[in-house]
Formats: sequence, structure tokens, C-alpha cells
Amino acid sequence: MKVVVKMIEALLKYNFLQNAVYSALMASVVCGIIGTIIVEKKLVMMSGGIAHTSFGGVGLGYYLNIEPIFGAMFFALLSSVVIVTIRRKTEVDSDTLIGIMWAMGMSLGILFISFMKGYPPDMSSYLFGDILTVTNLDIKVMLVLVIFVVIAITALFNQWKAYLFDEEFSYVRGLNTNFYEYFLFILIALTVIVLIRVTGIILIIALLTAPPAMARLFTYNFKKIIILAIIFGMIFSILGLWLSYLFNIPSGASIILLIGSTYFLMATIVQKVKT
Amino acid sequence: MEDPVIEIKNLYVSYNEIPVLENINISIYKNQFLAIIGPNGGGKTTLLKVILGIVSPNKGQIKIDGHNIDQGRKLVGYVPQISDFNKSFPINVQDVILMGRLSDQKGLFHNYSKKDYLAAENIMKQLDILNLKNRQIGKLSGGQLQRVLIGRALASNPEILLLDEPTASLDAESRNNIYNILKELNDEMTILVVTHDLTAVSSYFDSIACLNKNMHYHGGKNLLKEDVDQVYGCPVDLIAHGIPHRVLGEHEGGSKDD
Repeated sequence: MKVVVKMIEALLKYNFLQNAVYSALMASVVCGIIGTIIVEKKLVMMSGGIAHTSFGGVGLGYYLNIEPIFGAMFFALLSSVVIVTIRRKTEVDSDTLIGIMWAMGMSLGILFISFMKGYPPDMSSYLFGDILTVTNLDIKVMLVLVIFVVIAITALFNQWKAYLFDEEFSYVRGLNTNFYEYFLFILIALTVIVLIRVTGIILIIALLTAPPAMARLFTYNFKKIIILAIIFGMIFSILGLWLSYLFNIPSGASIILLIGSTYFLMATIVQKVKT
Repeated sequence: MEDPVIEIKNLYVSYNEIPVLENINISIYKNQFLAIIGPNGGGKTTLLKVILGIVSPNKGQIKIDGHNIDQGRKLVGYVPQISDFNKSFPINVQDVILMGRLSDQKGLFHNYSKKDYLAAENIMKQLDILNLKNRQIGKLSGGQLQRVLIGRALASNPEILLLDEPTASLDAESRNNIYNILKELNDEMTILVVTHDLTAVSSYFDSIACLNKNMHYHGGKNLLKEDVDQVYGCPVDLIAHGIPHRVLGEHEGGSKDD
């Protein structure tokens, strides 16, 4: 109990803790929505690829002395559009394509950093996330992106559902599936940007997949999976954040480990109960 | 003679310069119940996709009820192969059927109307799947899922129904069930079925076309029955010998003599 009171006191006192909580909550919202979509559409590795490619943008940001998050956004958007276009125009296997872009993005990041004069910046907060260093600017960027993602999905919810379930039939019904495909990848790119500060580029995939996977244990309804995934994401990211603050461990790692191990525990229990 | 519902003239389609369909000519009339048979890779699915505007032809002309494909395909209901599905997708029977009533004109923050729900319910009643309304589609049998997909196609009030292998991997009972449903629907609409199911061909369909890159179609509207018997005679014989691949070889030769 004492720990909780202490935590709340600290929360009220320190701006960086408030920002950490806001960003964890916002990250959970986009994770619940986009995470569910990429899990159902089997685009998890694709999203991982976009995330890693954005590292090139972080490096570019440092090199050009602009906010690295904007560099990352530029790279994430560019890579998502490139991936869709190449996927549509050629017969290159998406898997292969992701593998190449994944590593190229990371390499570009390292290259840009090596061009910098003087002592290289610490990249680990972008790679592994550091929710306790989220700035006011980060929060503003995240908020805009989260609102955009939420509106984009809710405004076209029935269309998204049809597109995700059966692209071909949606096309036959007159839906512009081309548009939905590009739009979906753009939303994935924006989600990656929201998550970079929270879990870091390397850990993003787990935060995108674990909450929907958990939610899927309890319902078969698409909308309910999203809502449950958001709730799970919020609970575990706040808990993880708390653990990270308490034991002074990296926030990305504590959130992911907590959420991942809870998923395996839940899955085992649900499996046992069902049989 | 009345105008054909679907008229295909001189159609050529190829994927990466490999020809899939060559010189297809066929006229399909109102309330026809046409089976398209042929070997795997014979272009059956491709032909359906051309009619639906999913695949664009290299050459040739298609008219649906006198319109070009862009306009005409709105009259077409499509029932794809169930094997192509992501059956684990979290969606239930009712939602799948409602999808048939969606279109891009529905705009932002679209909700299905009372009318949409009512239409879906009537279709589910008609296909005897109303009791499965809330079931996730992965938890359906093959026959049930097939009926759901037919229901989804019906939800858009089509005048023409295209089905791709609707009875593949179904047991005999579900197969008959599907054909009986189609037979009933045939009173109101034109139906094209791509199938391997040669046993059903004689008893249910009123015309038949064989497709293996080229189309062998013997049926005009008026002389269908004799043609069916003629075409049907050869494949059944060969199927019984367990050499389905020879079906078309033999058949092609036969058709050229016509």
C-alpha cells in the first residue's frame, strides 16, 4: 500500500512520470487497434520491418540536427509506401522484401550516426525505449497521431472489417482496396512512431501483438478484441512502467516482459479451462 | 431471341505472358444454370475473376446485361472458394452476410441500417443458417460456411451469381443441399458454377461448358439438354477410370468434331 501512495505522490510531483503515463496510455490505444489489425491480417513481420527501417530516420535526424522522431516518421512512412508499391507491382516475396529493408534501415541509421562529428549520441532509448524520458513534444506528436489513427479506423470501421476479412470480395463490392492497403500501411507507420519512445524500435512487435493475442483468448468479436486489447495494453504498460520506476530497470523491457509472460500464463490457463 | 445476360467475345487473358484463356466466346442467358468444368489450371477461376473485374483481360469484350464490367459487375454476386479464407478471422455469420450490403458509397461512420439487418435475417432464414447467426465462421462446417458465403453474395440482390467450386470438399449430403439451394435460386437469377463435381452436372445444371484455356461450349439456350448429355457422357466415363486428366484430352478431340 505504501508503495502505491509513494508512486501516486511521485506521479503528481514529476512531469516526466506524468508524460510516461500519458504515453503508455496512448500507446495502448493504437496498439489495441493497429495491433489487432496486423495480427488478423498477418502483417506482424511487415510492421517489424517498418519499425526497424525507421531507425535510419532516427540516425538522419541526429545527423541533420532535427528531432529524431520526425526523421523516424519520414522513414517509416516512406518504407511503408515503398513496401506496398513493390508488393503490388512485382512478384518479390514480401518476406524477402522486409528482410532487406529491415537491415538497410538499421544500417542507414548507423551510417548517419557515424558521419556525426564528436561523441556519438546514445541510441539506446530509441532502440529499447525509455518511457521516462518522453518529452512534452513527444507527447504532442503522439497525441496527434493517436487521434488520427482512432478516427481513421472508426470512421471506416465496417469498410476496414470487410477489407481485412476478404479483400477480393470487398473489391467486388466496389471498395477501393488499393486505397485501404496504402492507408493501412500508413497507419502502421504512424503507430510505430507512437511506440518508439515507449518500447523502442526493437521491442515494438511485442507490444503490438501481445495485447490482441490476450484479447483473442476471450472473444471472437473483432470490435471486442480491439477494446479488450486496449484495456490489457493499458493495464500492463502502467504496471510495467511502475516496475521500471520501482526497480530502476528499462521501461521497454519491463513492459514487454510483463505483458509477454502474462500472455503465456493466460493462454495456458485458458487452454486448461477449455479442455 | 432475348439479349444475353453475359456476353463474352474473343477474350484473351495471360499472366506474365503465359496464356490462361484464349479466344473465349460465350453468351449466357437469363436464368441459365451453367456449369463450367475443366482441369485445374484450366482458367476457370480466372474466367470468373474477369467477369468480376478482378483480372483485366488482354483482349476481348465482356458485356454484362449490356453494360461494361465496371457497371455490370454490380449485378453480380460472387461466392469464392472456401479454401481461400482466413477462417480464424474474428467475424460471425451475420457480419459476413452484412458485408454483402456494403459498398464504398456508404461513406464515413457507416452503420448497417435496420433494412440491412432485416435483409440479412431473411437470407439466413432462407438458407437455414439463422441459428448460426452469432457463430464465428471458423466454427462452421464446410457446408454451413458455403451457405454463409452464398448468403453474403445474395445480400447485394444480384441478378447473376458466380460460384467457384461451391461443393469442393463437402460430403454428399451438404453437396446436394447446396445444389438444391442453387436450383431454387435459379428461378430468380442466372447462375454460373465452376466445379469439379461431375456427378452433379447432369442432374442439376441445364448447360455445361468445358474450359481448358479454350472454351468448349455446346449449349445455345434451346438445345441445352442434348448437349449436356453429349458432353457429360465423356467425362463421367473417364472419371470412373480414375484418370481425370484425360478428361479434357479426350473431350477436346470430341468437341472439335462437332
